[in-house]
Amino acid sequence: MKKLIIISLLFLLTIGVNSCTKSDSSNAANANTGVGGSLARFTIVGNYLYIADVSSLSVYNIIDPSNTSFVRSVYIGRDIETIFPNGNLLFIGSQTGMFIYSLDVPTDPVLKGQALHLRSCDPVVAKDSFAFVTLKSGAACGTATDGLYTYNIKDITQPELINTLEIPTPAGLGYRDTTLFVCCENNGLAVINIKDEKHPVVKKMITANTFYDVIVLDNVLVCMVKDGIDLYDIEDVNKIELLKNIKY
Amino acid sequence: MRSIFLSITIVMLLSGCIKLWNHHPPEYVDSKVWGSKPIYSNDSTLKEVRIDTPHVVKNAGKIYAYQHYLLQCEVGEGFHIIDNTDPKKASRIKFLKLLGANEISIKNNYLYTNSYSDLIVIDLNNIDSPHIVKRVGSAFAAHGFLPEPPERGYYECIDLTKGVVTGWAKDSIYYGCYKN
Repeated sequence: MKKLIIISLLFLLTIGVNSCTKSDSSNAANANTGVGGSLARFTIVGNYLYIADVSSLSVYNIIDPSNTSFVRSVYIGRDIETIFPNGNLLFIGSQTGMFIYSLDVPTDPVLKGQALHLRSCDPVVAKDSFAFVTLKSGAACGTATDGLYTYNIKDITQPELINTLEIPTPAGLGYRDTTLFVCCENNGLAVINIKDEKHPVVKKMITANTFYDVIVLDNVLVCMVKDGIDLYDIEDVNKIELLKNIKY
Repeated sequence: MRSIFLSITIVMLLSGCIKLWNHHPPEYVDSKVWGSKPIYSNDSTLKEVRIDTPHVVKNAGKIYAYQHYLLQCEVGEGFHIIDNTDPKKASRIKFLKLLGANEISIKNNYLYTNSYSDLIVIDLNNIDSPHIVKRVGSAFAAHGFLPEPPERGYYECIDLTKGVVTGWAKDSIYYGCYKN
């Protein structure tokens, strides 16, 4: 009996410690599966690899890596560019919109909702009931106004645009807790407070480099920049510090 | 007569009937242009994966984090492996060579990537001797997975039946693809 109590206490303690130290980030990694930036076309969820090519979403079974096998492919639409997993949902960014697929049955992604917009380039990240999309116009992308578009996805079948924040040339993005990091190419890195998801506020613009994409690794922000990879300490968002510039 | 012709020309210019410039690459170009041309090889050993000493980054691609490593794609050539055990001292330690690669995902020390439009699974359990355990040919549409030249501008579209692409050369080429 005593043993059982100790085990239970240890168990509760483990849960407690985990919930205290683990931050909520766009790149929820575990020890066995890595994390990509927001511009990826490959992602692994559980025992399946999902690949977004220009028009389709393909599912591969990777339970036994050396017997990786094709499961199915579903047609999504035109000009697909990015794939982002969140829980049992896949967010697919294309030049014409965001598509949300449910992975309730991992081998059979089902389109649940979509939000169409003007032509642009647009990676997506999702946090709880909100999806953040950056739209960038330009010759290669389209005509939408540059900015951060926030959708309420509480009802994933009806994503609702609730905020548009104009920021210049936004590209890859990621979040940690209530801070969203948006790469703005040669305009810098926008540090945005999303405590109130309906009203994102730009807190700071880091203009030390040209930023393309980010990965949030707990308290380290990995940035793909023009001349290399920059690593920033983001433990305290009011005191973001450059730890290392790994030069090309 | 001459002034009428001149004013018609001006009106047409203003109305956009004649375009002096165009921000978008034209879909068809009839003549040869200066651009990048892929260099092909049919050496089958080039289809294998191998570990090399760190390379200088020339054409940086996507980033990925796995355990205490960071990986960055060298578009069409492989992956730079960075030791990120201590971010303050992070540096490139190895290069994983795989022609045609530009995507990456890792689980349980198996790396899933592409070599052009083939899906490749690489066993990384021994980081110094990686090997391909599975290749799925033409796993997805090639568009978006083919390497692009390092510089923007016109380039000759890749034809995988000619071999694997080992580099790019500047040349006078026929129209085809455009990198923004």
